[in-house]
Amino acid sequence: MCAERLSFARLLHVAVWLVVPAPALAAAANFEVHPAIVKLAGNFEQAQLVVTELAQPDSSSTVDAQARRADLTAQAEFSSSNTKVVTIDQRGRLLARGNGATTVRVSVPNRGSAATVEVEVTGFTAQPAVNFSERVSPILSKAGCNAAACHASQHGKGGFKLSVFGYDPDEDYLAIVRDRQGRRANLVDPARSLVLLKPTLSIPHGGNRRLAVGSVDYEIIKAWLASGAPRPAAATDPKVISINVFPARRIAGEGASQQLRAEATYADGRKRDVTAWAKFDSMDEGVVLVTPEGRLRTVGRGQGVVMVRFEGQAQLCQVVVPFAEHVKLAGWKNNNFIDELASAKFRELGIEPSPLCDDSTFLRRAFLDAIGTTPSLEEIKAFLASSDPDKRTKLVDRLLGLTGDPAQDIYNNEYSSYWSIKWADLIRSSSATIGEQGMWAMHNWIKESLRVNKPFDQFVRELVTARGSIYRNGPANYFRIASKPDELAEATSQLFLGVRLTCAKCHHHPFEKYGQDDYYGFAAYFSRVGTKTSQEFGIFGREQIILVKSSGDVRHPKSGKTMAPKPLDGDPTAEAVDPRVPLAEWLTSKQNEYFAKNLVNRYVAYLLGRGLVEPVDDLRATNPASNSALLDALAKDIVANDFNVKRLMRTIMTSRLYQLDSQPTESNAADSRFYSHYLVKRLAAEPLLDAIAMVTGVPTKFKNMPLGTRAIELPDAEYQDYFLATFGKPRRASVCECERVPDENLSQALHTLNGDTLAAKIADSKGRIAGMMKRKLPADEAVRELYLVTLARQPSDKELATCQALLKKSPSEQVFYEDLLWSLINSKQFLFIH
Amino acid sequence: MRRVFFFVLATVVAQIASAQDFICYPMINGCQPMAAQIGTTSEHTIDARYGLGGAFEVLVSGAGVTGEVIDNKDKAKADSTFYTKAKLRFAVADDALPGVRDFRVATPQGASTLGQLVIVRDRVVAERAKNDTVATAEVVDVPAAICGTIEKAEDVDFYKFHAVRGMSLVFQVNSARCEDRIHDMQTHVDPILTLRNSQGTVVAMSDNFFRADPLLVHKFDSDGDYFLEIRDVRYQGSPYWQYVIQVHDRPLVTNVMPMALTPGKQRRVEMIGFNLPEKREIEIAVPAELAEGPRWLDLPLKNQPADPVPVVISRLPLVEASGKNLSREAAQSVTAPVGINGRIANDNQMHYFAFDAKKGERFNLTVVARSHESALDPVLSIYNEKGSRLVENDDHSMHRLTNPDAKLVDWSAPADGRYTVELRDLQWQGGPQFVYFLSIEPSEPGFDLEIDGDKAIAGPGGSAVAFVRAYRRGGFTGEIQLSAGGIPDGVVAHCGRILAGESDGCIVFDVPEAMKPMATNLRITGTATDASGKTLTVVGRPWQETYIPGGSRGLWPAEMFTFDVAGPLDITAVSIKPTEITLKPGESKKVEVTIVRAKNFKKNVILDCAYRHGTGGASASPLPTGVTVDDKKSKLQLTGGATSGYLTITAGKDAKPVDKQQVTVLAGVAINFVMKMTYCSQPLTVTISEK
Repeated sequence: MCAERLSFARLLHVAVWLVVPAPALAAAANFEVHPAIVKLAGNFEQAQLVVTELAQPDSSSTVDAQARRADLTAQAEFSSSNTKVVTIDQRGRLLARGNGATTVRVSVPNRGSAATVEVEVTGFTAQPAVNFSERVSPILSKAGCNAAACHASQHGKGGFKLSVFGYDPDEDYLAIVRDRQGRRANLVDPARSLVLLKPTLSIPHGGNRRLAVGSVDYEIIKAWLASGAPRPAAATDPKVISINVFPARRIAGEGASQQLRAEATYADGRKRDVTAWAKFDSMDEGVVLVTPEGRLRTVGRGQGVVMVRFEGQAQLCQVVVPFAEHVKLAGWKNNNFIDELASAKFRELGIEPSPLCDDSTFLRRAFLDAIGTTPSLEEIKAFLASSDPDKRTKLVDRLLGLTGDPAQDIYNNEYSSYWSIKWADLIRSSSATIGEQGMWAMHNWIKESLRVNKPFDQFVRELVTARGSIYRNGPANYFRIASKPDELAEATSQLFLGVRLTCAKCHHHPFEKYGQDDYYGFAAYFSRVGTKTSQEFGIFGREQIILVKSSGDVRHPKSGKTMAPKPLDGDPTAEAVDPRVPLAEWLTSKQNEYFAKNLVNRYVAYLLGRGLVEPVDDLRATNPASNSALLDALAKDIVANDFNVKRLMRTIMTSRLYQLDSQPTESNAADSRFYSHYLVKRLAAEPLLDAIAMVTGVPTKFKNMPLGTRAIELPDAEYQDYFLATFGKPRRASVCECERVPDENLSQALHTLNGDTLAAKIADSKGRIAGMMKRKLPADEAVRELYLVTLARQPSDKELATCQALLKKSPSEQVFYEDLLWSLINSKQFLFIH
Repeated sequence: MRRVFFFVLATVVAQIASAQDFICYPMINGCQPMAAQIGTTSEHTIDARYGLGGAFEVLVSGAGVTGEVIDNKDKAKADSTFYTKAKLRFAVADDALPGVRDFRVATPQGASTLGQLVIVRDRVVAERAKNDTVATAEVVDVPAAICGTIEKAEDVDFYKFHAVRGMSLVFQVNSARCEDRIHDMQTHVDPILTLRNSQGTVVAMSDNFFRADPLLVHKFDSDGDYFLEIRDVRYQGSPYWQYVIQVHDRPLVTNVMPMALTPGKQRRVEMIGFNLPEKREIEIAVPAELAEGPRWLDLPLKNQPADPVPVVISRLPLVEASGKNLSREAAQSVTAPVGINGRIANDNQMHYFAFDAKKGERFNLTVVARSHESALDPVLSIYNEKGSRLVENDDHSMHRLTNPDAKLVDWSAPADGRYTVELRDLQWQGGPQFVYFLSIEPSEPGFDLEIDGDKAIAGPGGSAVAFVRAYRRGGFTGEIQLSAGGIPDGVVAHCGRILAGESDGCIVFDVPEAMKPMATNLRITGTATDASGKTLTVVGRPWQETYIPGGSRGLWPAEMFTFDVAGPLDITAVSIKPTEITLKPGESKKVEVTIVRAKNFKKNVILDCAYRHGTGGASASPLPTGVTVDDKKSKLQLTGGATSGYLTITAGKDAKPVDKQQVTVLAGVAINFVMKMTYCSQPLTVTISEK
């Protein structure tokens, strides 16, 4: 621009400023556009603009304030200065039209002046070269063609089979271009290709319309065909290494919306807007919904996430819809860091937590949660009578055997028995798979590990690297429960990392970053595990020795390549005599956040009724914790304390959060994720049967176990016990926590109401009621004893009065007490930990 | 009414018992108490399947322990099947070595199978009847050797004792280890020990240390009463699952380093184990008369005696692994013959030794470790100079069992050069208890000799047989002449031979008509001459047979081979005619067999020349190769009280000439699906002439 012209332009500008009404020009734009500069490289490239209000000046620095900013994209008006370079639609989506630079004007009614976005388009050609992997495959994914319900089902659809989520571009290419004599691809007249005619419903298509004629995606496929349908090249095709979602977090009220933008980063560092081809899914449809274009809408209160996927990568946008704007947290006092972080979440979500539970409730809850046992009458009376302000903490220490005084640490047998069930369930210790002696060896190792409070990392190392006799070294049986490298890889990752690798065995995990390379690299750690027989337990002892073979490998099923042992997200491990050793080191490393998070998440679930991540054994970036800060802090804490599980339990059980009443308040009744009230749990099968035995005074006899053996002491899964089976004792066939079903059902209710187990115990001549009759307890005392021993609380005056009235109507005292005990056992207060 | 019931019951039981229509040697199942204290004489009750009636003599392995029968001596033979228990008295000398001894009882029905007795230093405490709960725990003073039985399913035995702070007690169980040689025990115990404090809280536990047997060493941190609990890990039980728990505060030396010692020499060794004195080294004077091989040696600990320790006695030049030989490049140079004492001290450690060999030179490399109480499960490899592994061995066949130690027999050097031996633990583990003895010796012609069975039984006027098998090595193929030492007066032993290149031979013992029942242990040897003219003499090792669940026959090495003259048995004579046959290749000849049955003995009898059990092949057959019994042309089954049959013996067309090979005709009476009561004829000699 020459000097004269510049001078003229300035004059004109001043003139215009003088004649235009002042308010319209005086207000600066009260919003911002993301991104401020757009670069589109090549034909068909698109980009999404997101228009957001500016934060309030006084709160712009806080994360929450940023997240609370309203999305104005839907209200915004967009116009391109040069539609030969770029066009933009009313969604705010740009489309490259030709090489050059231009600007896009963005305005929002009543939000001040317009903003400008600079756009540059390069690489636009008349005959574009379209890369199958980069351009075509994402369209098939977005349209759902390669979903398991469509052409990626086991046998495909209509003879056309694609790989799941496009994990195998070569196979997909062949299916489109070569299969069936190439009838799906017409390279001479691309528009007549079946691959275009079918999804556009130009001819009948069982999957309905998936593509519009003339749409960008249609044109991409057409251009690819027109250019000769070049084959994918695995070695050189661009690889997506991550995606980024904007915004990553949004706090809004119900009915709010937000346009999302997805940007992929390729291995060569290139960034590309992929909003148009990314898949958007709400993971919490009660809180948020999302359109295929990436526009979310809040529909309920709470916390939810939208998952965004593109080419094997996934990322989230967290959406928070507070229950209330302000909460008081009256009387709240932090006992430890758990309470600090829980209360922060309460504030964020506007949830008012319930008050503390009473002593009776806490006593019973702590006993059942810590040692799977109901407290004795003596224990109940002493605890309720105590005025020690620190008695709850002291009780937790006693239950966990942390007082250091053998006279007080008397529950270690129960602790180790109860928690042995949990770990034996998960490890799948069962005589059905590893024989009776193997099962006992495994059980004894687990129990002993718990008894001495073995650090959890050591426990896992011993298991994962176990070798030697299956009788002498219990954990060696881990390699008989599963003996193939792939089975061991899946079990180990799910148990100790909370990572479910199973999908990656055949295809890229749909919600996770892991593919077959990761799967078989991880499986390779177990490739040298072997066995030999031994006669050290006699010539018919059937002893086996787990050993490390001097060779053995795992091959990639597609490439046939020998896989070097490789941790998830890591580099291949250096050659080792026993590859499991470096695996165990990596697995249990303090730097491996999955290991610590998996452990603490499980214990949070066991004690608080729900994991911070659910399902508890499905930790992944796309399944975020309900309170990430708390999960991080707990993980950090257990790492700092050398994976001391009892200490972790103590931390949780002494927190205020654990001690909250299970009765929800009006304001937190809708919450089931943030622990604003204690989540009620049904007693698991074994503790429930033991509790019934304890309150009736009649032990249960189990096959092949001496009388007096408690259900929590049973080492095996193989018991023909109807009660245990009905209440969900698992057969130990799966490493999934879900195998032990915690739900209530009609069979359970019928069994406690009418079944033999309870009726026989109550009426037993050596039972509690018979004993009470012999002791000739006064009526009030007898009623109190029954309430205490079943519910760990005194009867209320009303309950006492009712009992007295019913006693008078009863044919005999014994009948009444039996009926009362039956009623108490069938009450929710007995059947549930509350 | 109750009396009537018991009368009926007793009658039924008697009928069942008398239904046994054959005589069988007793099969010992247990001994209570299972331990005897050094320097004492004690009474014990033994249980057996089949009758102990008339038991008259006790034979005990090793030195320093004698036994006698203190009842059942006079029980009539006819009643023998009723007496499945007998009382014995064992006298243990002051200098007897602690440890497990085999014993057997001689009866008119034949010598019993083996039972086990544990010789202990401490007072023996026998289990009371009811001690199945903490509340009813049996109070014991320690130290003690607690003897009991896990007698039924779900049995748990509790013992209560007092311990003081700072006390370190050893709780060592002998139980499962003592069942290997119990003849007819269908399931074996797997004991587990648990120690509880006065609150009942578990303070320590042990499941397996000495194979299936536990060892628990616990230092008490407070005074108080404690409970010791023992049970089968699966809560199974059996009246014969007996145990000894030795509880004491003395040292328990599990191993010494070096492991191998030279007889007649003084050696300082390091003690490895538990409750050890501060000074871990001790000087040992190794007796000059000790035979080579794995042995147990008493340690000269004065105030706190330990149990004998496992050592290897070797006359090879001994060296110790340097500890720097941890790579092939740093291999320790040795010259065969040599014995190497070493220890895999750490996880992932390997020891290397290098030696020179000429092409075709043969060597035997033998490791003694796990089979003799070391923690090491050795794997042995040989590498050439290029670093290529030529051979590897983990376990090796002990002929009838698998030995967990490594052994390379007759390894031949493929070329002149230097070879490196690598020794490691199978599990790549190491530690103080991972001691070993590795011998590298030039392979020389020789053989091992094993006796199939551990006893030979005959009635007066009858014959008994011992089958002997040779395992050859070092290219030795020569003939082996068998002999038996310790034969009682009046008994004639026909000592056969093992033909050149063959494996089996037999000794037939003829018992005079007038001979009274007796029993004695024999020493059976084989003598041969190798190609250089050197005389080779090898003592045969007996193998106790065991009944394996499912119906097969197991064998376990034993110390005693017993020759037993029983009372009159079911078959008093097996006569053959002729007693010598000569066959040309392709020719067959008939041997008539007549048995003399005892009155009322009607059971089926099976004739054979080979020793067979169950449906498997022959476990011994002294017939020359190519010579067989033609089943189709023989009458081998003597049913319904039949007393005569015949065997047709055929020489194959390729049978090689043999002069008077001794065999015998067996007359077997089935005891069960597998075992037989075996009678035999006087020797039958088989000659194969030239074509």
